Amino acid sequence: MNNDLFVIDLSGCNNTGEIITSVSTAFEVPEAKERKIGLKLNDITLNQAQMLSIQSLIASYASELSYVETPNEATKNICENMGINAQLCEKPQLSTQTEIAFEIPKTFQGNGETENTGMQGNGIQDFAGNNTLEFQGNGENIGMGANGEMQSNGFEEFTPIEFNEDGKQIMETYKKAYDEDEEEKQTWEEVDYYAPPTDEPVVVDSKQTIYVNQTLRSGQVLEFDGNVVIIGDCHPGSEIKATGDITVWGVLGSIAHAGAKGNRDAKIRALKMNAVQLRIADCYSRRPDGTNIPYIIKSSVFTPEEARIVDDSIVLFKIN
Amino acid sequence: MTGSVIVITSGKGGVGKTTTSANIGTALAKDGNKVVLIDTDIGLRNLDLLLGLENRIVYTIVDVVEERCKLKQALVKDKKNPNLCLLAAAQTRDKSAVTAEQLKEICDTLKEDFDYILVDCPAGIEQGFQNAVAGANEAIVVTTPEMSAIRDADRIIGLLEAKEEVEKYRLLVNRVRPNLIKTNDMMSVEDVVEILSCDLIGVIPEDTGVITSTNKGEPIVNDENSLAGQAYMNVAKRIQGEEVPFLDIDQPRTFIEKVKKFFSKKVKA
Ligand SMILES: Nc1ncnc2c1ncn2[C@@H]1O[C@H](COP(=O)(O)OP(=O)(O)O)[C@@H](O)[C@H]1O
Ligand SMILES: [Mg+2]
Repeated sequence: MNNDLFVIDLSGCNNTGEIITSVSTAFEVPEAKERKIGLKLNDITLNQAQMLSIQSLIASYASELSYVETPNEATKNICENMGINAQLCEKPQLSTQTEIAFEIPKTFQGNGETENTGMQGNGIQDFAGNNTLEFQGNGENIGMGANGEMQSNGFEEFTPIEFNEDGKQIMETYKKAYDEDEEEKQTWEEVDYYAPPTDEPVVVDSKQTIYVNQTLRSGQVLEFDGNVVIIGDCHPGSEIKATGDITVWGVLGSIAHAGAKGNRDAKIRALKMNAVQLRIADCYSRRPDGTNIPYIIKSSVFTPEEARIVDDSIVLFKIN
Repeated sequence: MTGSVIVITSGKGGVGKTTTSANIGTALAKDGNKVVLIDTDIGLRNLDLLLGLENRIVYTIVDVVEERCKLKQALVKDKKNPNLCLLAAAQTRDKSAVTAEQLKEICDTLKEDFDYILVDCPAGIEQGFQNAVAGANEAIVVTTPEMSAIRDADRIIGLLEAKEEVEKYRLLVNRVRPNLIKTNDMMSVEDVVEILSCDLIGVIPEDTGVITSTNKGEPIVNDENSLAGQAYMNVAKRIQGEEVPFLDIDQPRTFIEKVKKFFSKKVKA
């Protein structure tokens, strides 16, 4: 058995049912099997019978429940009586806003480091505020030290924007690499797509990809260490921040930050690009003022585009 | 320099606080003052939309208090008027992200460099309101000529009177419809002032242009032909201490005619 802890974050679960569901979902990831398992619980009191049922569920995946972190004293004592290493922690601040549910990706690609793999159980974590949904999964972010202490080295802050003397921002608008006013083509054959500037394959990042099957609404933040695919629209006022690429199968009307830890090769693509701001690594750009409309244009006419950095500017390319 | 910090508040939502903030701010800046608008409606921000500045926001007031940036970096300059800037609210957080003390500190710092700091207050009397009034030494209470809005304005005035730092508060009656007043279907401005026994700083007529200007991200004071815009310009003048007669709103016919004459002259000139 692999002796490194696999941590399942259940701090968003408020009853045994939710815990059981989240734990079983987490075990869809092959890495969770035949491992020592750590659980991060919310402030709920679990009795011995409930703890035993969780323990046996974990055992059914040939894994072993060996560590529990909980803000609840009673639960901690029950665990210790059962011989499970337990530790008290801070009560998580729960989001008062709508939570985003998501499907844990079926394929869990490790990043080569098998140690210290952590995984968010239901994907909802309060981070830098009570309305941030942070999805972690490639084991980089949450690790368990040898001393059993939880370490979370969160999302690195990136302060990239340049300001001149009087504090004014220098942020140019994003531009299209192709001619928007070209004549409307009648048939598909006539459509002359502009090729992206390189021959590289579109997805070059081997990071894990998360699939979110939901509309992102104003005020919601989606953060993920990896690539993000959203099947739905992203409304203005929401924010997506990913260390890899961002793909929106819908209208992107919000702020999107790809390559948020500095990867300038990251890309942002959407079926319809109407983003308030596009940010790739340290390069920020804003929507031209002419289209600064405070509401999202919903339309069935899609013009798939991809944003990437060309000579320090963010440029949109039509995608085939 | 010691600027004035003016909070724009109402108790009730939707009566025009944000519209008023954007317009008075723009009007004061047009008159040559250095102005900052602070949006304290964290989680439900709007002021950036009214000014058409949403796409320029990188840092918000929450980033300032959490020290992710300097105060100066978070000030977004207006597209047209370099005297005007916006300190935006964070959309992805809530009112508890900023405390009253932190807001007061921000206002006190800005006072040194700006003539007017206008604070757009969220609806309600909870923490958002407490934060917004914390640094203020003046208040503008916005109401509409409706009983519910007036009741809430009364409550707010009571709370403002209890705040020592707020030296004066004045009433702004918004969305006034002279023809409804004429047929006795709407309370007159005089009635409102009498009920609230409070000094008046402005009367803004109902104007569909307000809605289109909101959608364009362009305050209505920039539209010289708008009645509401003119009324907001007058409010700005009164804030600066000028005596400007109120548009004669109780005699709708002459009022409209007067204004029409005024503008036809202006257009020809
Ligand atoms: N004088 C006016 N004439 C017409 N519509 C107005 C006027 N003042 C405000 N409105 C409209 O009322 C609505 C609410 O205004 P807003 O400024 O957002 O209120 P608050 O900030 O108090 O919630 C907006 O749709 C705005 O366009
Ligand atoms: Mg408002």
